Amino acid sequence: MKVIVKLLGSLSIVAGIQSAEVELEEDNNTVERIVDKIVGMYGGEKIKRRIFTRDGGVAVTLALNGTWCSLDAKVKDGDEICIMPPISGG
Amino acid sequence: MPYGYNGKILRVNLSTKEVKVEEHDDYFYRTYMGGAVLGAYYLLREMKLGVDPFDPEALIVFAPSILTGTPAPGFSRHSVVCKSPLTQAIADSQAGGFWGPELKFAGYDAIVVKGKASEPVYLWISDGEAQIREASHLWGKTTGETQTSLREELRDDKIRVLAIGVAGEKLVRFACILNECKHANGRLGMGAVMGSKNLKAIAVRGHDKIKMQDKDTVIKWAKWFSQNFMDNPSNAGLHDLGTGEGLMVLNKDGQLPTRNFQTGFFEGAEGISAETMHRTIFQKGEGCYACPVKCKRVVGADKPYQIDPFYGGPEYETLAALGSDCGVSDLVSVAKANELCNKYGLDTISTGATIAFAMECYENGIIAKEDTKGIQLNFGNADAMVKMVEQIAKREGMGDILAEGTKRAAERFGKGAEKFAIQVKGEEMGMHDGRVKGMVGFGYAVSPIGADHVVVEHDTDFDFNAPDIFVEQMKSLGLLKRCKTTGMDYQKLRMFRYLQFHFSFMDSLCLCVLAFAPVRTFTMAHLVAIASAVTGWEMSLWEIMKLGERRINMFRAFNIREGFTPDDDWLPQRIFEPIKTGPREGARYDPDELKTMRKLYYKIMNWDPETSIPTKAKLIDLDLPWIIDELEKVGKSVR
Repeated sequence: MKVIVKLLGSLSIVAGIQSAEVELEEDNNTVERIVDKIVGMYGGEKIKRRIFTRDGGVAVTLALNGTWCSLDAKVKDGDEICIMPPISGG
Repeated sequence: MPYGYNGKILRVNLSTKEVKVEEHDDYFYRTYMGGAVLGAYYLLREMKLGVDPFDPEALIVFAPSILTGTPAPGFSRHSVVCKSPLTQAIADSQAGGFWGPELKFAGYDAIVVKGKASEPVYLWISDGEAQIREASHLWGKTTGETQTSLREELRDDKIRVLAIGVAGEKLVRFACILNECKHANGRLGMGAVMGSKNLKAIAVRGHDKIKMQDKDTVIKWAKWFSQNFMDNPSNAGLHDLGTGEGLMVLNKDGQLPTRNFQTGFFEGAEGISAETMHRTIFQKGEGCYACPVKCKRVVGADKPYQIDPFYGGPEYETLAALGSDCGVSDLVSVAKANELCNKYGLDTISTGATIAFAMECYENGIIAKEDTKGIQLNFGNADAMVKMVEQIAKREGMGDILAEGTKRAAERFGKGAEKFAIQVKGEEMGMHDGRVKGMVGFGYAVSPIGADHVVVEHDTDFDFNAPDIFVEQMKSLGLLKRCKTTGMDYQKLRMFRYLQFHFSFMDSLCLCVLAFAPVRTFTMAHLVAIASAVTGWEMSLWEIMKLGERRINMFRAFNIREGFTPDDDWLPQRIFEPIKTGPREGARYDPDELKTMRKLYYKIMNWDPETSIPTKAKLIDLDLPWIIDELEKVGKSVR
């Protein structure tokens, strides 16, 4: 299966990409698996440090096909995942 | 011996040319602490009812806090407090940079200015000495020319200069004050108040660092911040891309103000995004005193406009106000408009919002080409947007009307233009949509200073999709649960009250919200530890929260005295109408909900639910019994 991953904000700067196509052999995947793939393919520890806090918490906002989602959301072929900074303000 | 503060406040009367020093005791400093609260103290005590902001009798207060100049990130800011020519209500606006710390190093905790000079003047404050000096040669100059000229004249290139540009001289009602030509006390027209007094600039230089009771503790936490801020998701993004990092995310969520708040999705957002800025015109990041985050942008370009990096670069509010809200997707044009605003001393938010208002009036036939002298003021016309900035600053052509702000311009245009004026109490709305962020919208309505976006930490930070760290860092305020972003309910009303006190003490202690919890690196515990180490007082979060509550009540009391009522705590019509397109299509603020929550808010604040006047009990609780007399003197009933 193939999914499109988009990165916004400083995540795109650190990873050096704005979007990527991720291909996986097995079908039963979650957003977490895709995020792991991105970490492995682009930026390694640098990007991991932006996506997760030191205690393993999620430090970003995730969307699957335009709807907010969590790491355990299931993905299917053709889906689009967006990894973005938290929507902050102030 | 005092720690943190100098014990000296400079009093300047520009009419009589009198300069004197006022001293207060420890009780005074521990009660009012500085910034917005200190400013409100002088306005309530000394400014008579109904004095116009441009009257020589009006006061303007420049105040850092007891903590400003502490060599730790986030302690660099100063407040300016006055009655706003835009709203006729009390106004405060904070700026970072270097001026506030330098004033402390020069020996003063604040400057209180009244009167009007017969000719243009500037103030020169150097190591405890203060003089009023002639400034006719600076009148008409840009902020950059003024700063350069003063540094040459005073033969010291480390002088910190706070100045107005031509917009302040011409009394544009949203003229701002800048230090270093890029750090702005941006909102509510305080640059025009300086201009009305013929006060062009305040130059300061000092060589004494502030005295701290426990310097080692302060240094320890400053180092800790530097070592850890990149682990905070917000501070890391601010370092890499500045405040503009969130623009694309807000757009993706359908809440980026677009074409005068008609919608929340801008098809041209990528063109004005921080990511595009980083790849194209970005030169370097810059910071404020003692801060490693360096969230400020410096940009440069040659085409289609030449951009002078000296004036910094656009932040989020500017990108949205002069970009998406005007339908403009060309980054260099937005950067040019930002440069002009900093040169001439204009608030970028009100400037952009006022041009967006004029564009909607133009597209609806309320104003025509003859009125704009041939400028086609359609949404998306970047050249027209840049031209209008120039015209507003110089009060030329249509700019003379727009320089009055949207509320007054709408009254002048008539023909239903008021429905396109997106303002509260006369202040143009910050670039966050209250239809989506419920607490932010509520804050726009009830804030004493108008539609300011830094009244409360934003709803999205505590939404079910927000990172755990933000929610965890909020818990020390007793706020334990996440919330949905839109609308208000009982839980969010309680959140609003506490988070409003929080932002209110930030403005009173002149701290940067981009350095502190709940969202950023320093926790509430760090703040208490540093504040105690600086002052030598055994401070607590409770005491600091009370300071925030004190500010809200003092501001409310000033406005009550001036005749403001609950009817002024309301939102513009557009916010009650659904967002037209995009992912948040249909979102709107419910006026009935606002009415209900507003009354409950007054009750929870211990104010009269019908009049919003703080009760006697509340003013006593906040150690402000003298305000009861101030209100009763002008016929306001305090129950």
